[in-house]
Amino acid sequence: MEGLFIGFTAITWRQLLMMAVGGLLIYLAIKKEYEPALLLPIGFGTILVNIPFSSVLDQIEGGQQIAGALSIFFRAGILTEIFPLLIFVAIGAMIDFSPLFRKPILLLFGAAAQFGIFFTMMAATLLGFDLKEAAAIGIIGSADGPTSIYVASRFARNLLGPISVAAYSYMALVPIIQPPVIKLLTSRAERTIRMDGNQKTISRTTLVLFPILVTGLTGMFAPTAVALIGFLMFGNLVRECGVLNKLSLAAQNELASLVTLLLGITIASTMTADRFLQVTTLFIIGLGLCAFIFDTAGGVLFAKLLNLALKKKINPMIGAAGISAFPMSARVIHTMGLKEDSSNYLLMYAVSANVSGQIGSVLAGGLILALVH
Amino acid sequence: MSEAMRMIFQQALAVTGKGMLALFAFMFLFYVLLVVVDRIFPGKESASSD
Repeated sequence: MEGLFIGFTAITWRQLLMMAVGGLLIYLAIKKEYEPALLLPIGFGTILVNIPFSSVLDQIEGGQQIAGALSIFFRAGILTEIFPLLIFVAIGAMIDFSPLFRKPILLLFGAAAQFGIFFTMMAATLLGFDLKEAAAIGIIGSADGPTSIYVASRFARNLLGPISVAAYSYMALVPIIQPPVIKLLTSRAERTIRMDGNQKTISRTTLVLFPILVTGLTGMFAPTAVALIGFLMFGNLVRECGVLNKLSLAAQNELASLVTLLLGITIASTMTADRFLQVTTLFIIGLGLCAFIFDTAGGVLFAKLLNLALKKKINPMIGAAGISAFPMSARVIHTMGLKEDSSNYLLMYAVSANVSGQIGSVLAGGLILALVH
Repeated sequence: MSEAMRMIFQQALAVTGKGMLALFAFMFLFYVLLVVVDRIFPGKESASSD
C-alpha cells in the first residue's frame, strides 16, 4: 500500500516547479501558438520526467537498471544525431531555392545574419562558460532548432534542455524581437527602398544540380559540415528531382511531423529539475535573446554596408531576413515594408534572404563543429 | 577577468573571426555557383516586376 503513495512522499518543490514550467510550455503552445509542434511535446515531456521515479527515465530497481522509454529515445535519436538529421531531410524537402536564383546577391545575408551566433559565443565565455558550452549556446542564434540540438548534443549535453527551449521560444518570438532592432538601425527612407528583380523561371537541371554541388563543395572544404548540409540538400534533391513526389511529400509531412514529435518529447528527458533549475538556464535564456538581436543587427548593418557600393540599393530590412527562422522572418520584413509603404512588396526578396539563412545557419553549425576544439 | 577566462575569450574571438570569414567565403562560392549554373542551364525570362 505504501508504494501507491511513493510519488506523493518523494516529490520535491523543484520537481513541482518543473511541472509548472511544463504546464507553461503547453500553455504557450496551445494558447499563443508558439512553435506548438515542439513546445507541446517538450512541455508534456517535462511533466513526465519530473514525476518521482518516472518509468520514462532509466531507474535502478533491485540493483538493476531498468531502461526508460525517453532515455532509450535519447540514446538512439539524440546522441546518435539521427533525429536532427532526419528533420534536416524534411526541411530540405520543404525549401524552394528558386527565389534565390532571381537575386543571388541575397545569399550573402545568410552569412551576415549569423553574426549573433559568434557574438553570443564570445559573450557566453565572459559569463564563465567554457568554449564548447559557449559555442552550443551561441548556436541558438542559428534560429534553427535542429542545428541547435545537433551542436548542443555534441558540445554540451548537460545544456541541451535549456538551449532547445530557448531556440524554439525565440524563433516563435521573431515578430516581437526583430522589428524594434530593425527600426533602431534604419531610417524611414531606408525602409521604403524599393527593390526590383525578375520573375524568370529556373530550369529543373539547375534546381537539381544546386543541392548536389553545394554538398560537394561544402564537403571538400569543411567535411565536418557534411552531415548537416548533406541531409538538408538530400531532402531538397528529393523535392526537386521530380520523380520522387510521393517521397517528397512524405518527407515534408509525415517525416517532419513524426520526427518533430519524437524530437520534442525526447529533448524533454533532459528537463529534469536537477539539470534545468540552475542559474546557467537563466544565462542561456538571456544569451539566446542576445543572439537573435545581434543576428538581426548583423543582417541589417551588412545590407547598409553593401548599399555603399551598390548602384541599385537593397532595402536593409531584407538583411534581417537572413536569419533562418523560415518563413516567419520573411513575413515580418514583408509586413514592415507594407507598413512603411503599402505598395512596396518585399516578400520575394525577404524569402530569398530567409532561404539563404537556412543554408547559412546549417553551415555555421558545421563550421562551429570544425573550429571549436 | 581571470587568466583562464581571458584565454577562452581569445579562443572565442579567433573562432568568430575564422567562422564569419569562412561563412562569407562559402556564401560567395555558392553565389558564384548559382550564377554559373543558371547561365549554363538558363530558365525562361517571363516578366519583370518592381
